[in-house]
This record gives sequence, structure tokens and C-alpha cells, in this order.
Amino acid sequence: MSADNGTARDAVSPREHTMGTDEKRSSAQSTLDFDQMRERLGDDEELISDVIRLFLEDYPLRLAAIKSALEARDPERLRAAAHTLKGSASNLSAPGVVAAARALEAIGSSGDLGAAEAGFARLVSEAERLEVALREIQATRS
Amino acid sequence: MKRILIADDDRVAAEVLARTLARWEYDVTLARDGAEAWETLRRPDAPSVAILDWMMPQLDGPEVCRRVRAEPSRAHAYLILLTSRDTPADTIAGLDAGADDYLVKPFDPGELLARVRVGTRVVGLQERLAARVEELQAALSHVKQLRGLLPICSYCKCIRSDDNYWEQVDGYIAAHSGAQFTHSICPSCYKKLFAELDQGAEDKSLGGLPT
Repeated sequence: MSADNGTARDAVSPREHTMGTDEKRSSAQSTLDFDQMRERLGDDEELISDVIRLFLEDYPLRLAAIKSALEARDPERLRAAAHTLKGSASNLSAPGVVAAARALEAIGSSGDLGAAEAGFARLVSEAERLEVALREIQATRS
Repeated sequence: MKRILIADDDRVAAEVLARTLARWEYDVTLARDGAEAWETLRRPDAPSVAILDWMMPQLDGPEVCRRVRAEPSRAHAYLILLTSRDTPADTIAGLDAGADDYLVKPFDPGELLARVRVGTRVVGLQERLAARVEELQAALSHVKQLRGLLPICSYCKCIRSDDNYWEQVDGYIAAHSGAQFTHSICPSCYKKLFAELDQGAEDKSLGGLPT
């Protein structure tokens, strides 16, 4: 992603211009903290690539399991499926997905599925953001 | 042979764990859920150390622990529960179910390795102990023993052996113990024997008439 240094941006709003890069970075980190992932995986390049690949293969199945638990109105299945996805995402240091999955896990534990649909929508959107970030990383590594 | 089972339905977590352990030269087997973990652990050639996630489909970590402990031939396996559940109640439940150790996620890789090494050491000790017991049992079956209630003749002192054969006491003792005999004569028998010999010699010199 290129930094905000184009003159066309100045016309939009000066505040937006100066805050832009920092906001982007912190929002990027809330999707994926790559430095932390690297550290957690012991700087093992091969492992990092494999973990990214595995996650991208695996998470759609996790989302499907959560979706099917919601359709079945089964809180226990929801809790279990959300818990697993939370675990995967935390290995990647992906706080956005971790938080959304944790929220769904809590909903499952509580037994009250009222907020589940909204929670799932949030999770899907976080997961999509994460996928974008991961694919960008894959592209720079290959 | 450092073999270890990792059971976790989270493919990413399992891969990270497997790779970490492989780097430390462990031979890793993976199980995707509790049922697969149990099927692997119940086999005679199962790894002796296992890292089990708590929440898994089919059977959860604690249930796998319970089953392993209930199976006499596999009950000595070293089981580590790895989980994000971190209350004391969870720890107690996990250890009571039969886990040897309990690690909370996110785990520190160095700490995990240290605890896995403990497991390998404990299992090694148990295996050496079991081998030693086997050796001793084999040796015991060959040991000569002098024991029990022995039927002995009050007159000639022969002992009746297990196969109903009356054998001389020195033969019996030699066969049933590590003792050996050096045959000699005791003072009173010596006196008696020489008294008889002397008497016999006297009789000869007197014309051989018996007394």
C-alpha cells in the first residue's frame, strides 16, 4: 500500500492526510499483526508460508461449520466451531478474527443465539479482511 | 525413539505444534479429533507422550485421558492437555481426568519443550523399570530355593523331594540352594568309627572271634 503523499489527497482533508498512514497501520495490525506472527512462529519462513496457506485452506470450512451451527440453532456446535477458528487465528496473530470468534464462542456458551447473526456477519467481514492481508503477504513472498 | 502424538482439530495450531516439535527431533503423529487420538493411543505401538487439545470433536481431551488411564496396557502414557481454558477449576478437571500436565495457550515454546522433555524422561524411567521387573521375574523363576515344609526321615535324614524320591539330605540341599558340600567327619562320628576300627583290630589279634 502506498503512503499518502499524493497532492490530490490534500484537497480532501488535511486531518485525513496526516492521520491516514497511522490509522492504516493500526487498522492493518488489528487485522493481522505480522511481526507478532513471525515471532510466534520462530521466524521460520517455511512454517510461516505453510501456516498462511493452511489457514486460507481451512478457514472457509470453519466458517461453514459455524454457519451450519447457526442454521441448526445449536449453541454448543457454535461454541466449538468458533473456538477452533479462534485458535487458528490467534496462531496468525489476527486480532480482528480472534475477537469476532471469541464473541461468537461466548454467544454459543451462553445458549442465547439472539446476537449470533450479527456476530457471524462481523466474523465474516473480519475474515475477508484477513484473507486480503494474507494473500498480499503471500504475493510478496513468492 | 522420541515419538509424540498431537491431537487438535485446529489444523493451523496442530501444524505449528508439529513443526516446533519436529525441530526438536520428535517423531510427530497427528490426530484431527478425540476419536482419532484415542484410536492411536490405544494401539500397542502408540507414542508414549501425547499433547491433547481440550476441545475437540468426537471425544474431548479429558475424555481421551480417562480412556487411556482405564486401559491397563496403555495407562502409563504421559498426557499433556493444551488448552485456552485457564481457570483453576479447569486445571483440576483436566488433571483429575488423568492428564499428567496442563498447559495454557498461548504457550511459550521453550516451556512446552521443557514439559515434553519431562514426559519423555518419566516414560523412559517407567520403561526401564518395566524391563527390570521382567528381568527379575525371569531370574526368579530360575533361582534355587530351600523353602517350605520338607518331609525328612527321622532316622537316616533322607528328604522326600517333589517327585516322591527320597534323597540324601546333602543331595537335596545341593539341588535346591547355592550351597555346596565338602565332605568330612564330625568328632563324635570319628570317635565311634575309630572305636569300631580299634575293636575290630583287637578282635583280629585275639583270633577273630566276634564279641
